[in-house]
Amino acid sequence: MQRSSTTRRGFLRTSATAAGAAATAPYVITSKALGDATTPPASDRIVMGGIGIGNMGSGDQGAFLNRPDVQYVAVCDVRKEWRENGKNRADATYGNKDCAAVIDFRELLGRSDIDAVHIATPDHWHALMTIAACQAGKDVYLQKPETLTLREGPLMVAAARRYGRVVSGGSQRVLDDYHDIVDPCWSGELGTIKSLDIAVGGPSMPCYLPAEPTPPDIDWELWLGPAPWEPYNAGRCAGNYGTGGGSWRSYIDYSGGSLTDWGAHHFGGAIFAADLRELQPQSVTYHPATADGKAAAYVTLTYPNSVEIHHNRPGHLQTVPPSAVHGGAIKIVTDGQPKAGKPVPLYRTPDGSGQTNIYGDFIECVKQRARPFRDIELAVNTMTAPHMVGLAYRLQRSLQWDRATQQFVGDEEANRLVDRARREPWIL
Amino acid sequence: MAYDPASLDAPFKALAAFDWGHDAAPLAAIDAAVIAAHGDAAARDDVEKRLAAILAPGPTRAAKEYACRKLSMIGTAACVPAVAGLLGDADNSHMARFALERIADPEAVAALRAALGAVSGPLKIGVMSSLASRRDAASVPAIAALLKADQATAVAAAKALGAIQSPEAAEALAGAAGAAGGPLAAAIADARFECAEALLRQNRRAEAAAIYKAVATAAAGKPESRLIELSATRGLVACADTLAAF
Amino acid sequence: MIRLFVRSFASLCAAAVLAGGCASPCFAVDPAADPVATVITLLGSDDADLRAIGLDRVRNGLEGPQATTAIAAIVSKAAPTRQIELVRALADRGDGAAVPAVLALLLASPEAEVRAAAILALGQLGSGTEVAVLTKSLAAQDPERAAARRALERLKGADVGKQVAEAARHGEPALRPTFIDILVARRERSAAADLVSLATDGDERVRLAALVALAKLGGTDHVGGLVDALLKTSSAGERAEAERAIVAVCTQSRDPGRATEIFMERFKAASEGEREALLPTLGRIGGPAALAVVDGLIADPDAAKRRFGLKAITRWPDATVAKRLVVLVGETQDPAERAQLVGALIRIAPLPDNKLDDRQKLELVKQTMALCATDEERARLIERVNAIRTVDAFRFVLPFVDNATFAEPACKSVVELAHHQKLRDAHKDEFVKALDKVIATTKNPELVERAERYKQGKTWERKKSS
Repeated sequence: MQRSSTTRRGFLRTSATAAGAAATAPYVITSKALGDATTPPASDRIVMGGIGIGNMGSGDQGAFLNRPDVQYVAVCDVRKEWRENGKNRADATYGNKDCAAVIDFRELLGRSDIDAVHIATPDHWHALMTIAACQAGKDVYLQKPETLTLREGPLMVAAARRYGRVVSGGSQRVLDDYHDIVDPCWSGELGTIKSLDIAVGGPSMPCYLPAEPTPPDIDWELWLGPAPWEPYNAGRCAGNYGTGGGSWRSYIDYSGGSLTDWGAHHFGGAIFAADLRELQPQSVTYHPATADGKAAAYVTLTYPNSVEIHHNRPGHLQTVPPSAVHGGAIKIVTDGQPKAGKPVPLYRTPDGSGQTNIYGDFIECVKQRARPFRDIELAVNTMTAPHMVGLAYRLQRSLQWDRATQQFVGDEEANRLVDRARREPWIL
Repeated sequence: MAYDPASLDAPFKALAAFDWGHDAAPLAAIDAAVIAAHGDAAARDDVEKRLAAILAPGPTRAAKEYACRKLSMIGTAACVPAVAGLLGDADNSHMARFALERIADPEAVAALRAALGAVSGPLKIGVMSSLASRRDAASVPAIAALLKADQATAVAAAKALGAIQSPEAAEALAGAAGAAGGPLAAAIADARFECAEALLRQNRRAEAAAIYKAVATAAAGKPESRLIELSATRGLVACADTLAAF
Repeated sequence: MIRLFVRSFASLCAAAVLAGGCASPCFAVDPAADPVATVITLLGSDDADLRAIGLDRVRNGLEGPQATTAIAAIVSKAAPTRQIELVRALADRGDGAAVPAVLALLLASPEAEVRAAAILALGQLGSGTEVAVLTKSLAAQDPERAAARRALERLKGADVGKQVAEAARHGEPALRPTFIDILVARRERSAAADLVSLATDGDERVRLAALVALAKLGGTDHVGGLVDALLKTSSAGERAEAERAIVAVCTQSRDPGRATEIFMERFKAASEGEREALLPTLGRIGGPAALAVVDGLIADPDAAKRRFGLKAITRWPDATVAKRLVVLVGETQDPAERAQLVGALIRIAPLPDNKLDDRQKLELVKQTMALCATDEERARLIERVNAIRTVDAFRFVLPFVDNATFAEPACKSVVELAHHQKLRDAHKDEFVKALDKVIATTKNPELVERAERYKQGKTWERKKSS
């Protein structure tokens, strides 16, 4: 549908006077803005900015830069190098020097000409930034894992719905990489799903790295944001994909560890295959390690429809013959009685073909004002699973979850871990 | 495994001297004791006392941070005085809230409420954030008064009232809406939407509609408030739709 | 129910509603009215933001089929662009009560884009009843044709597959291959028996489409039919598809063991001429029973039989025949045979099929390297080594970066191995040096970019083949 006249389109029309944009960088209409045979005119393009332009952020930025229906105008990163790299990529794409580069995401969100943002910061920023973006009227493509705590999810969903924003989670793999289990499950040929086994790493850990001199090219206070203050250490904030230490993905203040990082993909793929995305687990059962140490602890999630998901169940691939397997990561057991199937959900495209990627899905949903494949609500439901698994490992006990109240039943101490206090001045 | 207090003496001694970069291995025993204390009142009391002792002057910021993390898991009213003592300390205020925000005992929220008038600047915002997380209706008058403070504090106050969602919070927000502009106006509107959504969840649709209508009316005709106006409209539509949910 | 609610609601909110009077968009909304009427008002707005609110309610709100019908009733009166957005929203709503209105739009609209949107919506909302109308649209031009195909692929209903299969057998001749493709997209395994008969159809395009489909939908029951089809093929392309289908069923179906048994039974029962035709397939299926047959042929004094045997063994799917191949390379005096056998070794040595462990795979690679007679063979082998994801494989291939003849395949292998983060991180210093060397050596800009990213701890998204 024709998009709002309240944001950028109106801005473009009035940019000569630019009364409404006094506090933002000017948006200069270049010759490219007029469009050509393959590029829509600027007034029909989605104007985007990116927050967190490191590893995943640069990949996301590249995906959006490649789209002729996107005009990319600003990057934000607390690191100078990444900020400048991001700006350079955008400028090189458009052959100009127009891409703004800012340190503070609030400056980017304050620009009235920006329609949508992508966010790829460490996880401790996801909820705050997503909610702030919705409040600023921006649509959001948010890297996975979308949440760091259980409390954040419903608040993000509420903000998206309140402001009518398109908020897409960011696991590009869920629909792209798990066809080997998704397609036969959705077609009904495998029958009713009984259980799933997922093999993926465990939760994050505390970080006790020593203080190092804070380099001048990082705004450390802003990097930490709502997380507890801890001294700068390169390994604390490194953006690599390791989860065994030496990266923010390893540490509890910034990430749920491998369990929510790769877990967002594997849980995402398994939950999608089993069509559990609308649900949240109702319980998580902690199975301690055997006394002889031969079998490690593992955890089982139980959904309201009795489907079980086992995380790292010892020997899981050698147990009951599976009905479907995704590599060494996911096993699905069904009753083997074929049943009526249904079509696998697709990414949204104008022609209904689904032939795009998660970025194309997001952009098309921005245009149609529709909910994307990994709508924030589905993403939040999905991420509830690995979060609950992590809490069961942390507390070493089984828990019951009440979705309506978003609380654990009869376990006051577990409920303490549903959220954590944010460092001032950040308030969710 | 039976709780063995003596086995914790050395780890707590190490914790008292702990700093970032030190060997964290001794802390593993405390981690385990915190988990094992579940359902063992005596063990919990003992671990809690030892952790609270770390909050006294002497141990490093890193040690205090660690202790607050653990107290957030097992702290009770007993540790509140020690934790609350850090609320006015710029270095440790957040971690004190890290513990107090999660401790269910009323003493914890009372300590936060008391601190609201005693701290200033970002620390005051932090305390509001924790009171908001606790949805402490008793703190509404004090927080409402801050709607007239500097912009950052007033915006935080609006957010806190939106999280608390009590009738008094909604009333305070409505009262402040008329005079507010800029970011505060947006924050108040957002907070009022939260109050309306809470009413919708309780199926009190007429009351919710009245809030949406009031917000829309205030925003009407102001280009800078178009987003708020549309959101109010969205809310108004939701009031009439039994399938609407927030 | 809704109306009852609205009546009581109206009295409660009337004061708030009437308090309006300015140009607020919210005054387009009267919450005292029927919510459906409210949404319809929003949908009629020229303000895109207000329409978006209405469309969201169509997609995600407004309980019941009566609401659907009421909303659908306004479709015909809307402007074409609005029709498209409304039909899309009704499709997302997923209530079949909208089908009559969408069908009417399809039949009445002069705009191809509107008709295409209606067709796609029918695919989401319709049932077997809509197969006929969608089939008709399949004969139209794009975008309707493409939309009809998508719609038939996604249409729900127990009888849809049967109807599509029937169309594949007896439908419009030009469209029969398309119907077969639709069966594949729908994963209609129940249509596999029909596909077997279509694999010997008089129309070559239908035969080819059926064979391609059977590779995905076939099971043990269809092996015999596929063998028959293979033996009847008249072109190399068709034969290749038949072979691919049999191999797929014998290796990837729900019961590959039983499928292979059936194939071997048919093979043994076949005439000598038929066996020759089936031997390449047998080689690609592999397994002990097939190996016994192939061994016999290779040992046969009849040169033709030996050729068939060699052709089969060099197509083997895994490394279980590696030792046999090495022996044969040593025995043969024929350069063409030798090249054929070495080529097979290059292919199977690093296969990730769990037949050999990583150490054994690398040993086989080294053994194969010694048997290579040409640089082209060596280069192929060096490029294949990256399938063995170990530091030893990396160390084996790295020195070739310095060799001008093998630098490019070696660079590619190093970069491919560096793609695996765990491996790279576990031997970070070695990899960083190697990647620097790659950057300085390769002429392939993509390898340079990847090497730079890996050095920085970044990932790289492999471009998907279309």
